[in-house]
Amino acid sequence: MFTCSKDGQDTIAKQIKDHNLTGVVIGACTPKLHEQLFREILEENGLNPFRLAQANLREHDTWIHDDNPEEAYKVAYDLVVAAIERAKKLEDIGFEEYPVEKSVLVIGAGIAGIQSALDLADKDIKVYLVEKYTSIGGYMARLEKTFPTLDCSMCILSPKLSAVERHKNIELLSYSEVIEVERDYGNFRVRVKKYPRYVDIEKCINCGACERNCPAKGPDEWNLGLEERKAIYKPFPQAVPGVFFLDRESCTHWTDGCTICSEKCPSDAISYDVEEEEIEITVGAIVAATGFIEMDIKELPEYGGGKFDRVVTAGQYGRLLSLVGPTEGKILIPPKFEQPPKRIAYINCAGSRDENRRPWCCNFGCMYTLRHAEMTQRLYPDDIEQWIIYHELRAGGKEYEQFYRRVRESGVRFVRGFPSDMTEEKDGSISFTVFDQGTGSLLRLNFDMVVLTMAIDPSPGAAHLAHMIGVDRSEGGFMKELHPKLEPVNTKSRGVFIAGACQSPKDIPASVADGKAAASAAASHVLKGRVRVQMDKAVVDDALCIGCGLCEKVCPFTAISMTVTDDEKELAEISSILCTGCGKCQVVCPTGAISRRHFTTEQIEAEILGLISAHKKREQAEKTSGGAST
Amino acid sequence: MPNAEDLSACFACSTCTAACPIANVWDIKPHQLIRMILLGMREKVLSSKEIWLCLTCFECQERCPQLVRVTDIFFDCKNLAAEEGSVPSSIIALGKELIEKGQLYTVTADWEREDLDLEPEVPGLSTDPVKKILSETRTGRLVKEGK
Repeated sequence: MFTCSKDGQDTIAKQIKDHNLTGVVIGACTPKLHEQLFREILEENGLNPFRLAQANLREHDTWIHDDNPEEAYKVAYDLVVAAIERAKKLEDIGFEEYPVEKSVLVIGAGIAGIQSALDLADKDIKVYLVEKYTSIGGYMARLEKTFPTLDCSMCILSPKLSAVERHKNIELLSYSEVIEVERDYGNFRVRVKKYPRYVDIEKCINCGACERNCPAKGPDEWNLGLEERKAIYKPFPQAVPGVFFLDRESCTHWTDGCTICSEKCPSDAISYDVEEEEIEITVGAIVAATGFIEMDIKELPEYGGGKFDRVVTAGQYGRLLSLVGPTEGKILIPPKFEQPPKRIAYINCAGSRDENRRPWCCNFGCMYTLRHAEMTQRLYPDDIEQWIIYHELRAGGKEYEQFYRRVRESGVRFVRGFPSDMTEEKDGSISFTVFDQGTGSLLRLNFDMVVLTMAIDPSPGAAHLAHMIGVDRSEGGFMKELHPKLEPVNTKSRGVFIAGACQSPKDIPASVADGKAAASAAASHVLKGRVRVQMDKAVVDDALCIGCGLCEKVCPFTAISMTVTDDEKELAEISSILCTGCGKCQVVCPTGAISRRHFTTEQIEAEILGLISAHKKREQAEKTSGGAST
Repeated sequence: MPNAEDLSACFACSTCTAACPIANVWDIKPHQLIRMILLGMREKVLSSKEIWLCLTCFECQERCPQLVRVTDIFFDCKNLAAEEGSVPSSIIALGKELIEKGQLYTVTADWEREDLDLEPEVPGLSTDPVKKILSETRTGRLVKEGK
């Protein structure tokens, strides 16, 4: 009954041996599930694995005709006959092996990328860790404490930051970006651009004289736009690499000739003449861990986003709580940061679960807000009244629900409802209306400050990167996993893996797990030292090829190139490792010179003709027997 | 209800109620009415006074994160109630005004118009076509039945 079960497998093996079969036809479900298994059984019993023809009686028959079993039975008959005709035309196909470098490129050095890099490096695999920003750490480095444990984020993170810096197998390429990725047989050839920091990593002694004397300012990405910082700065004390960084955009050296920082530097670490550098590396696998970004607050004007000064994002509020942030850990009312607020409202799901903005749940917003509230409660136990306006409270992780209880016990008020009609009063405070479903009353509330728990998007530049590494994207632009349930870190692109929030918004434990999973998968891929590629690909018959170049034009994987032979004949050449067997070239080739092995024109024709003739035969039989036949 | 396409996507966030400028005078709030429709409480919804109080300002519909067409659904409710003949008498009275006068509000301060050097009657105002068309619509039927 179940062909894929152990006795089903044994039956197949026995049939091959007993009858000395030259091919096997199986009527079952989709090849996507068990083709690999069935092929292995053929191979184990002396047959070439490609001598298998599988008729999909599930997706192509029973699942569509479940309301008409009689007709479905007839369709099954036709499909099996078609598979038999196909089986008669099948040929032996082999495998080729290509060497794979024992090195991995990890793109993105947030917690997922860092964990991935460390795990890979511990397996003695060479890791190139590329990070776009001047320091590694990502969002986790911006947090003061993490839920639900209220660990000091930097305390638990900085050992990993140091480990990355010190590990002999990790080459950290910070303030760098991947600009080109090409497949090269079993490997990837990657070009990385290193942007100039203008501060020498070896010479900088972190005295800070440059920053103190710098006259220019620029927007602070680290503090998420809450304040400005000097053109030369260090984003946070534990930054890795632990040196200052000159942002050319806000610096006035190139516009006004300012050289103050270089003059003040006691160790001659600053040089304005550093150029961009491009390097090329060859790696056996790639792990993308590019993380997330909060949705732009300006997309929520009805919550005062971008309009009212006292409305900030949860990420920005997190920076206020940070002891090395713009207010050194004190909660003060933006934008002047002079007074502490008396009443704060947190609005959950700002932009999330909204068909007009971001239909998905941001996954960690509820817990993030609870953490903000808990920390604020500890800092200002009697002085700040806090209200959390939520809709559903999702606290599914380990011990998250217990943390939720703690926050409720601390006296934070919870209103189940969504706010509207947000107004900025004359004194700058914010009022809004909300229906409290608990009491069943419409409330008009007023707050000194409002914190929006913003929806989450993938990092900017993720789309371009996904395209470069051959990874698809899901709704919202998040990188697409190979299977949503069973393959969370693999992708459709061989040798490319994804980890962390770039796949889907997630919290720190899940990102760490992803990083470890991707490291394991990438290690499996490269530690074998070689990749085994099946050769059911497109091949060119030189005798028939007329060098028209149509195939080269249509190939989506740039696997075909036109070459000139010694006697000046132009021919198509196909790289079997780049070829994915899509078959487009076979379709356009005007002379039939190209064959996509295992799905050649003859094989497809045989299958179709088999289907038609089986159907016709049955119809005839039904007519002559005057009704339905079995 | 023709406008109920995304109705069951409602997850009772109550944004519509918070946005509604007159929700404070509704005993049953907008989001509660939507809930009641989803739970099949047809009688209560169609006989409520609230569906007739809707100003049709569309604040709720604009803001709904699940694209529920709240205002349009209330229109549908009003139409369904009218088909069953349960329209509040105040609304019938409005309908009567429309049918008899062709307009909801007639000029009552003609002397103010004279002070402003305007003609006492609004020039070019033609209510006959309106009266004729309306008398053949459901409004006309309701008013006749209401009498």
